[in-house]
Amino acid sequence: MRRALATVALCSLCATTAHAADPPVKWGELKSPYLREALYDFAQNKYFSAIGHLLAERWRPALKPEKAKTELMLAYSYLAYGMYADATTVLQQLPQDALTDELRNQFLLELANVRYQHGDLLGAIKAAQKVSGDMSSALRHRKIGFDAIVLLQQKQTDQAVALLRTLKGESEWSSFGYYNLGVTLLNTGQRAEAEDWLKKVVANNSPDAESRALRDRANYILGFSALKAQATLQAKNYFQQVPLDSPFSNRALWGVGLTFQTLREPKQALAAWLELSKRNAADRSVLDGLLAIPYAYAELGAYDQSVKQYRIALETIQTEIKHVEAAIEQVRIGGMLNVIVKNITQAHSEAFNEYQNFPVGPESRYFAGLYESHAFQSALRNYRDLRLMEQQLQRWAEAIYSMENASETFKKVYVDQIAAKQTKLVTAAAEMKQYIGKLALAELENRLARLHGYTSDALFKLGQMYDRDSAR
Amino acid sequence: MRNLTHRLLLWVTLATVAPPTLADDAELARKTRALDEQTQALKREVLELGRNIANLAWVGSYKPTGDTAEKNPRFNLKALSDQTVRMGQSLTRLEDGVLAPPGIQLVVFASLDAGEGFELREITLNVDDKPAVHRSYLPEEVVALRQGGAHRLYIGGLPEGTHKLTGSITSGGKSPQTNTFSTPFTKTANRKTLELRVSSFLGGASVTTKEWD
Repeated sequence: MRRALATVALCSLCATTAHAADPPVKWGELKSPYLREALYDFAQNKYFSAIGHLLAERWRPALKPEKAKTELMLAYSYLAYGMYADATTVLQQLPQDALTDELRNQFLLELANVRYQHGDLLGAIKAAQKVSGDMSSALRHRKIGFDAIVLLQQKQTDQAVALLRTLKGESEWSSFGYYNLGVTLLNTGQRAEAEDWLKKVVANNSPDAESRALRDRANYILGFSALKAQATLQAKNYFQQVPLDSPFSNRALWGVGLTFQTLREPKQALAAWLELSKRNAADRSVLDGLLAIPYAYAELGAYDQSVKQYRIALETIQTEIKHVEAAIEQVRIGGMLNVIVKNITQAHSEAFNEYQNFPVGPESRYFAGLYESHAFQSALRNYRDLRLMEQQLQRWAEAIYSMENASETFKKVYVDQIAAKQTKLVTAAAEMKQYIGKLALAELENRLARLHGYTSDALFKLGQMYDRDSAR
Repeated sequence: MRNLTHRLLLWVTLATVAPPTLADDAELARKTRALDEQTQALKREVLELGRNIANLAWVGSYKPTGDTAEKNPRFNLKALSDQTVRMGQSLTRLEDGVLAPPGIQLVVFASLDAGEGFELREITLNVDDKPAVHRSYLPEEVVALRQGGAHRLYIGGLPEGTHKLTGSITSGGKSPQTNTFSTPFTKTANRKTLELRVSSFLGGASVTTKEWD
């Protein structure tokens, strides 16, 4: 089951990934092949097609026995396709008794989540407030988690913590709540309780990718927390729980080095950081590691090695600066964006919105942070949808042109309508592309500023080394 | 040494507490929402246009004279189907409406009633012994079928009367098998919907047909 990574934490982990709504109607419960055809599309994340099928068939008498399921599937398809206003309208028109409380609540929470991800906080709150009545513990956990996210967004930390503390039991949603509670407490200085909640996350040994990612995050946060409290052995243990191939292993390696440094085992600290320094310098932890290596050598009195490592760090940072400057140029002329968008529009699935599914390559490696922001996700998704609709309209036009024995006048009526829509889509796509470019440039320029900061730091330290060398 | 650790930890703290300004910026949220609403409105317009095409295209071109599509073909279905296959896209229902008016339609669905061990590869379908469609299935399509989805294998015009669906199913992994099927049916003046339910049988495939309308 796809789950929203409904995680708002204060330590740069504010990634709430947009995600496709899971259908509430179980596969196999549906009878009409026309309805199951929509499910066939939905299962492959082809929401436009699913909506098209449902709109064309929903009025047919053959679907009357499955009216509520048809409408619910339509509402979910709208939701998954980002058309939350239409989804709401369909749901509101369903008779109250057509849905169980659980299904209605599940939909409302999906709706709240989608509205939140699209920047509509007020709409999200309104939708979540309508969730009521009986619900499963998993849904209750999700509701608590969502309400807490909204409170955190509004800086009402105490209320969010109080709400999250009411979480009881285990479900697919509870770990997110425990994690958020732990991180929020940690950021408000309540370390002991924070660690208790984060340990609950670590104890959840579910094998799915989201649970693993959450576990890895909790482990390295616990590691830094322990390190701050001088509990070095605990810290080392937590860091080493993060697998080397985890997306969070860079931070963990950085932490391992720090721990060994604190334990006065500089060789092992260096081993960790040297391992880290071999990794992609687009990652901030790798840059931190690069600068920590010469610092550690200097502390050991190995000044020549220190100078050498500062030079290596500077070279790496300069190379990285060139890459980022090239990326900025590419964004300015539209090249990089074209690559990213090409990857997205070529994807068979319309569910590219979980950040793991974003295209990853040399062109997009600098956008890891952006990919986690709702604004960027929403803009990319909308741009992709606009472009796909353009292609769809083109196919319709070709289909109409291919009709034999239809009058030219008839064809022209529809082809003109299609052309008018295509013009609107092209204009909207251009505006969206410009907006995406603006977001990408802001991200790259932030990154460039940070790299210049690293350069200044390294140059200053290198200067100190030369001064020390001269004084010897 | 302690100084280094303290300093490095400070870096970590600064790095982790810094909020992602892009996502949290109110102005950005407003702009995102405005563009989002604009996109939703366009989606609505395009879907509405598609529905109009599906519902009205055949009205504009089809005059019910009693002639059948076969006797008086108005639509070059095969050319369109071939074109669609080339584009690697399945026709949406919206396009189907353009292809054949509902009254003369024959719609054939394929579905799967088999566990994970069964690998559906291809279906070939003939209508009255004339080749209608040949379809290969991608793994994700087979998964969708296995979950209860139904794939619109064929849509076309057909006159009233007795007809026959024949074809073959290819299934299996390293050594695929091909099994044939044959199903007679009667077409009335209304749309005819048939579902071919493919199931596993003796290491190959068998088909049962369900008539829906």
